[in-house]
Amino acid sequence: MLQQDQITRSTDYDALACRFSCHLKRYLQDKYLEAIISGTLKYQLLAIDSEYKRLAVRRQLSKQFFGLFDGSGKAKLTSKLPVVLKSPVINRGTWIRTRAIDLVLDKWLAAKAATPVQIIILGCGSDTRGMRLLENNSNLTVVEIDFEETCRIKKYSILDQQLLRSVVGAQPEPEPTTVEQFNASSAALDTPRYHLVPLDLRQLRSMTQLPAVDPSLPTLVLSECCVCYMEDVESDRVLQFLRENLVEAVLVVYDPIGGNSPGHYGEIMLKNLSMRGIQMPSLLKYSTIEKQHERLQKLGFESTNVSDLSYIYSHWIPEDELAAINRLELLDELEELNLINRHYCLIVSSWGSTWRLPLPSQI
Amino acid sequence: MDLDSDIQMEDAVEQTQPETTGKETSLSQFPINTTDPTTQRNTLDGWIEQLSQCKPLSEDSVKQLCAMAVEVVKGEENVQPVQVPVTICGDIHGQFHDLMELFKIGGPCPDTNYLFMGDYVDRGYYSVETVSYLVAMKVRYPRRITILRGNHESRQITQVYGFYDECFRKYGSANVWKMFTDLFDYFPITALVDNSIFCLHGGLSPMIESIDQVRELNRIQEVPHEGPMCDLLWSDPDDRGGWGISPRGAGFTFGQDISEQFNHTNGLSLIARAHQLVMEGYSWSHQDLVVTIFSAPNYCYRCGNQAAIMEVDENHNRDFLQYDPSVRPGEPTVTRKTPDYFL
Repeated sequence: MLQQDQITRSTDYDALACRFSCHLKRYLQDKYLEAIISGTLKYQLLAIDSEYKRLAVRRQLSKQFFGLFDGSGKAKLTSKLPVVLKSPVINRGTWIRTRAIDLVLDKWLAAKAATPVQIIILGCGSDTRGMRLLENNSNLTVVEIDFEETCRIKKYSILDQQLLRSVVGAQPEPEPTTVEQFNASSAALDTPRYHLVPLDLRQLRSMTQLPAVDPSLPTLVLSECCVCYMEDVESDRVLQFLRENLVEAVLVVYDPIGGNSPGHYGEIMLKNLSMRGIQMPSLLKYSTIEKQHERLQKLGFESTNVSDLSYIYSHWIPEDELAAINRLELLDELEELNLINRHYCLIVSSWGSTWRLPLPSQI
Repeated sequence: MDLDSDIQMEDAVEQTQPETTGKETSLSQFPINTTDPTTQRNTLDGWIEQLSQCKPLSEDSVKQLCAMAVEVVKGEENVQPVQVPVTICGDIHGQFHDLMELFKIGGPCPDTNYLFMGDYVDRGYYSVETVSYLVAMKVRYPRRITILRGNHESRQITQVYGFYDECFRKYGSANVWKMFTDLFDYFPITALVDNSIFCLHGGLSPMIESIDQVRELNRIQEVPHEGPMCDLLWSDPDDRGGWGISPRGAGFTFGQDISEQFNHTNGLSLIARAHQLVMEGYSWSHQDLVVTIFSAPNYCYRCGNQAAIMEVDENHNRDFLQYDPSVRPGEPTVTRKTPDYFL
């Protein structure tokens, strides 16, 4: 696997640690989260062939998840909570990101409750959103796509735990016990309602690569910090492919935008991310919601709802819910939160049906 | 999967242990309770020299420093009088190198008088060095520098926002955190520049109509969750009139009508406060009755904002000096933890 792709994969653990912090602070309730972290750590370590490297990664992962999981991925959640989780500004931003996407999905699923539907999650990583959706929507099929290495870890994390196995409807399988067996095993998981598809999205050229997807069904495609890591020509190709091959669909994209503020927020972000080797080609090119909107129009997407997360924070969330969130922990960094939220956008575009997102759009 | 690429970089400061320089070792041999002024000055000058290189003091030295500082600041008033000329500064938040830049831009202390409006610790990577430096300067030049308390100079907030963690990493225990947070209880909470500019970290309180009411507060305590002392450290000016509930969860928002009334009642020309990130480093509100000053450039190594300080001269002329993050040519880039983003 290319070094750059490994770096991109590693951002999944940032997102997972952020969601875990939110979960512990009670911003989000996610009954699958502890099980998936536990499995992710266990099989991430099993996938490493060097003993020395495994020790080092174990130490780092333990730190990333606040020392609440031991080296084998076993949770130590009964102990006293650590002093420092993610800072409140990161918790609040993670919460609004998750909540905003939930709102879109809930509205769409409510409108489609009477018919079979499918949701495709691009770059799913270790996210448990698909499991929560399966639990609450019996008419739904979930298709998750990510790099093979990521899918393999997720597959065995699911198979390892009864809670996860039952929600996706999977049967237990004998598990690989050596690194060679593990890395040689299939990374795909297919059940009647859940499909985990190991695929480099940049190689997507034909629907035959996605046999689990029925292009005639109403479909929602979610890309949560996924296409932003691709070269523009690659992400354009992926988005255009979906636009052309799905008959009735909704595209939901959550991505960072570099902005055009005098402080050069985006340039500083690129510089900071480059310290970890992370590349984000779209950040400065599609740096505002207007540019993101224009880009999608050029790719053939109509009726697009585009907002930054600061707008969504103040326009989509009922006041009583915000008040309850405000009570969870003191947030001293309101200005910083607004600044950060202005540099992430949520795009919702629909085609092939009359469904439109019934929430206000900034554009 | 490669270790280097999978995992966030380690915080470089983690390895930083307080260095005991030869100089400090010899100076530290003086007894803690020495009352000889020359010895005290020499000790302080040694500490300041060490801290100016961003090297933390030993735990023993911090203990001595805090004991000396309590004696200095406990005698100050809730509304500490300050004379012009003075340079007024906002949040620093552990951005030590930017604090050194501030002194370059504003002129070295004690040649220039300084008034800092709180929030020395949390968020940045060098809270220990920053607060140690400012406290050492305060003890060394008590009439030249005034340090007020911000809402982050509190036990509760520092446990969430990083100072506690940093003390633990750099000293291996919470002792130094305890010494400093015990000291913070004695910091004055407001200052009055030439009876004209009221300076404080946050803003006004619905329970405070006159400056005399601030003088009556018992400030020597942990920042309370509510009440006038909490409000002074937490409130924000707002475009909406009157008092509002603060979305921060502490303090209030106050409108222009409130500022007009307060400045009129107390014969003030201006309220100078900090507490809020402003992209140009300073920002006027309430038709120039209130100014916000923020002195941490590129806040949290992520925000891209300028910083500013406000000079007030003998004739009460005000001048804002803006500055960007310090660049130290020739020095290797400091490897540090990447700030969090949503990825």
